[in-house]
Amino acid sequence: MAAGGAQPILEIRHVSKRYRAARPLFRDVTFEVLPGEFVYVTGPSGSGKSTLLRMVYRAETADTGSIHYFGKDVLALAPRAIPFLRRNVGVILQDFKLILDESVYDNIALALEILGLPPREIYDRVRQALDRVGLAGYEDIRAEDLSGGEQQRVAVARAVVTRPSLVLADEPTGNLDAGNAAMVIDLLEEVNAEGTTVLLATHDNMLIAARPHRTVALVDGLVDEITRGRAVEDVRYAGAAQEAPQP
Amino acid sequence: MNHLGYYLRRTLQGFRNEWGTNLATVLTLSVAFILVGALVTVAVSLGRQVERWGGVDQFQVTAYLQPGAPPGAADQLRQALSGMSEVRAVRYVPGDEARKRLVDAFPEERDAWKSLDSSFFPGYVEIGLDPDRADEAHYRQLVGRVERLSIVEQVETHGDWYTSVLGIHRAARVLAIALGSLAIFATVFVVSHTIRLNFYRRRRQVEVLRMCGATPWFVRIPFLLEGLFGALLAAGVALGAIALFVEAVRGRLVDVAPVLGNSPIQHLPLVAWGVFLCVAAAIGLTGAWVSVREALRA
Repeated sequence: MAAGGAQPILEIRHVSKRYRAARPLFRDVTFEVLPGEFVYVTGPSGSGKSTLLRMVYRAETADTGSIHYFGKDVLALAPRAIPFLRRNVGVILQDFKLILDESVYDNIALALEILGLPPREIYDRVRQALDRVGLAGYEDIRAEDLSGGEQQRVAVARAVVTRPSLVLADEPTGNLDAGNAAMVIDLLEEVNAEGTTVLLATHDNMLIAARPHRTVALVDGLVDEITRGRAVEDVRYAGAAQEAPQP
Repeated sequence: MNHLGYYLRRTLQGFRNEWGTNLATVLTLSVAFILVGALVTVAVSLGRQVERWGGVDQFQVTAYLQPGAPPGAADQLRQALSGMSEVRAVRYVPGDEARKRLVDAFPEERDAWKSLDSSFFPGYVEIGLDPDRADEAHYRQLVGRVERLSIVEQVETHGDWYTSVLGIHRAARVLAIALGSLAIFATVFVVSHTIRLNFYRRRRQVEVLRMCGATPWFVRIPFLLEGLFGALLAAGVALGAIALFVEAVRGRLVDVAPVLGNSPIQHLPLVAWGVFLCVAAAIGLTGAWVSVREALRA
């Protein structure tokens, strides 16, 4: 149970993953995310940030442990239930994952088509989402004709248009310049301010320092919770000080 | 039902975006369907010829009765043939009717026929055969049995004609079935590969769909519809081409081979159209299903 008595929206408990027998990616990762929180997952490249996020929407499985989303263990979900989990999780990836030969409108509407909403509602919601990300009037433009920053804003619009309870953002600013990166983080903070929980994976220490939020670090295969204001560089030190993972 | 519009839109979009591959597939399928359809048309037309030659209007085996045969001779003959499943009808034609038929067949000789005494036209019995059951052995057995009857004076047959047409008809049917089976395998294979290619070209779209919570069916259905519509389109093209061909050659065949009658080649019956379209639909769905199932597993 988290402080203050609120039920966590996401509980990650003792999760371990190894791709190679001799070297675990991470082990015994345990932390909670409360509703409405904005949480960074950080750590060096290869520390398993993306893998951990992929586990939350069951694009990946764990070797041990559990991940409870709204009290339900997503790692134990039957394959047929996975699509329904994903409908309540917005996902933003570093490479945007847009359908490049389709229009901005179609890219965003896709998430709503899956829900089977009526065309009128789809139209209204897509327009609202585009307004929110500052791309009103871009409906008919093909995704491939947009800049990287614009593409990522379309990806944000697609992730939030279904009004999910949780948005997972995996290095959303990794391919963007500073200006566009700031714009995307602004958007995610706005979404978060409206009550959506955001879990953002990044190895960008400057971003974490500039936009402080609760941070969970994966270092040397172990997790380290950092509170707001603590220097990110300390994480590496703290992680190194812990017992090294056993092969 | 909310998804129907989406499925149709995606299917049409898939057709449009991959138009080159899809066109090549539809044409390939059309050629295969035309070959099978043409063979079925030949088989159906030959079947009609067999019917015509062995049918109730022109009996293939004619048994002339002995002069002075008793009135119940036809019944006696019918009884003798009752155990033979290939015999479809036995009908007595009295002398008067025989003369009338001759007059109708050769009206220009009407006066000559009428001048002859009715006793000149012996009564006879027409024996109709079931073309599906009567092979050559049955045919010979039937003729032998009729010849042995004391009330029969002479048996007239068109055996060579009949058995030749029957043989060709059967060969065409066997060939149609064999080629049809082969075509089914080949076309399922073609559809499967086309859909697999389309699937991999739209891999990104599938990834996004799955990431956003699409069920496997939601991903699968547009590809299944692509396979279905492609195969149906090909079947439509093939049936249309065959119908046009039949229409074009029918008149010429009447001139070239009058022995084949007024309708030497037949349009495929509606039932055959229905079967053709159903088989095509099954081919399209099966081919698409196989490829999408494998691709989604990968």
